[in-house]
Amino acid sequence: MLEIKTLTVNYGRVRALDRLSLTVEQGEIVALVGANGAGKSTLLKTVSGLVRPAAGEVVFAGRRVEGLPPHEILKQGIAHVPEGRRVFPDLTVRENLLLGAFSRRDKEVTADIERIYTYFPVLGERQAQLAGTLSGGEQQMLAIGRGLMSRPKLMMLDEPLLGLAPVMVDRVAEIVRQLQRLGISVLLAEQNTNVALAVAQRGYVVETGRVTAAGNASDLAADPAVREAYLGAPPA
Amino acid sequence: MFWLLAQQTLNGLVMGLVYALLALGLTISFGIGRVINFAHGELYMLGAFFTYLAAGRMGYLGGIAAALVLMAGAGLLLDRLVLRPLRGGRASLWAPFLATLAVSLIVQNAALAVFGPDPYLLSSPYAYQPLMLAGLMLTKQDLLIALVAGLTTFLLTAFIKRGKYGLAMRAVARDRQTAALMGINIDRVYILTFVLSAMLAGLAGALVAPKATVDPFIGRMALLKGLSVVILGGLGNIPGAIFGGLVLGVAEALGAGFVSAAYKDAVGYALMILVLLFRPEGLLGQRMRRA
Ligand SMILES: Nc1ncnc2c1ncn2[C@@H]1O[C@H](COP(=O)(O)OP(=O)(O)OP(=O)(O)O)[C@@H](O)[C@H]1O
Ligand SMILES: [Mg+2]
Repeated sequence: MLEIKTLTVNYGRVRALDRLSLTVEQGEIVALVGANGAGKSTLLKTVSGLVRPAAGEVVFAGRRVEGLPPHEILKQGIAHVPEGRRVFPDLTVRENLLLGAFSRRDKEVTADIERIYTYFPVLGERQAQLAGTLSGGEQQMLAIGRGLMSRPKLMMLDEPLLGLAPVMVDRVAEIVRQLQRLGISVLLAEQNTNVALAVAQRGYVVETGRVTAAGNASDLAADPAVREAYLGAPPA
Repeated sequence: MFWLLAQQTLNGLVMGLVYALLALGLTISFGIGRVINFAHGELYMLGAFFTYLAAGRMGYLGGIAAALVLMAGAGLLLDRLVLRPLRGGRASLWAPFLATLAVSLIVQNAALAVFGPDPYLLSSPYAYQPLMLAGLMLTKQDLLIALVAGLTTFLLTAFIKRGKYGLAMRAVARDRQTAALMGINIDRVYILTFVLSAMLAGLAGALVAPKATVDPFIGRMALLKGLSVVILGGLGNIPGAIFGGLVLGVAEALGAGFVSAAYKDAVGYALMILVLLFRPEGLLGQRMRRA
């Protein structure tokens, strides 16, 4: 449903993506792994319209979307949960969720907020609290809940595990599987390669803006080269 | 003595509400649009002149309504023609600042060419109509100013707090990239911001004009007052703009009543300097956290 073809992105003289191609099929969890500065965030930002590509195509559900403004891309059904969670700290939990539904005009927004509270009870308990007062893990749940409020077909998560305690890593990994059960495809950019490849069905390894390995998640996790580069050290 | 205190406080609150209108416009331009709008005073001046022009056919209140429509257009033009081309990309941080300064000079001189340097009188059926209120005196115009400015302030705050686009404005003020990811059309939020800002400035001009005169240069003082209030209340802070406006209005009126009318403006600046010295984040501003 998402097809990225030979995408090239430059920041001034820096080439962040170099003719990168990948696909995400309907209902799939796809992991995007790679070291700092590999280009994972750039890829997600280009798909969601925050960054304009120099060349290449982004096709979603049969339609070319590269170069559209972010609000148009969201309307096509792509939600981007950015790196660092980026909840609005001086807005309440509920206001953050309402913002996630900004593009919607239907009357079921309130019902959907209640549904998010059943997935994430802690958000319901804190709904009137400022988002800045939540813990890191709670903020990540809010960021994902906020992404869900647009009723996306595809969710792109940028390093949702970063900085979380081990218990929280397991919770968020479980949430990602839950997204799949809700029928949402997931593109998961992660440096925590162990967990990302355990959750995903397929994966891509990115180095300096290029795909260097791709395939089944379990095959990648067993690949000696990948193990050496990304799984050698125990996950932080 | 007590009577003078009460009377001057009342006068000060009326002017304070006008200052709050001016400062609210500057506050949303800065907080959401990231621009210190040096043409804000000219928007005030245009509001007064538009009302003057329209009032001939439509009466004072009809004139204000017509002026507000024209001010919305002025805000739209300011955003589309001047600010939008400078947004994002390669333009320097100083560019919007210099651009609004240029707009200020151009509009002042255009108004000078059209209207000449002599003051105009905008007549209102409510000016010079005294009302007694618990032994205190104010004109019907003052009452109108207080009601309209007070209601506008209330509605604007409620909109920003509860309205859908009010929420979007707060999101864009905080983090425009993430706001865009929420599906907010950022461009529309900027237009809304500058349209509202221009209408607020124009409304202030239209309300005050019958108490004074209108000429192409009244915007300079209006900008100074608005900026003083923004500094008093805390940059980009909406409750601060309202509170700061009332504080400046009352301080000036008390200075005029108890010292001398000649020192009215000096009292305002003295207050501003004190705040800058002892509470640079503004009366209601958050204290900066030291890193
Ligand atoms: N706004 C920018 N301006 C200039 N260069 C940038 C910008 N954003 C990213 N880059 C560069 O582009 C390259 C890819 O960065 P990107 O943030 O996409 O990597 P990443 O894989 O997400 O890394 P991380 O795991 O650290 O988040 C890096 O070399 C980075 O320095
Ligand atoms: Mg990144």
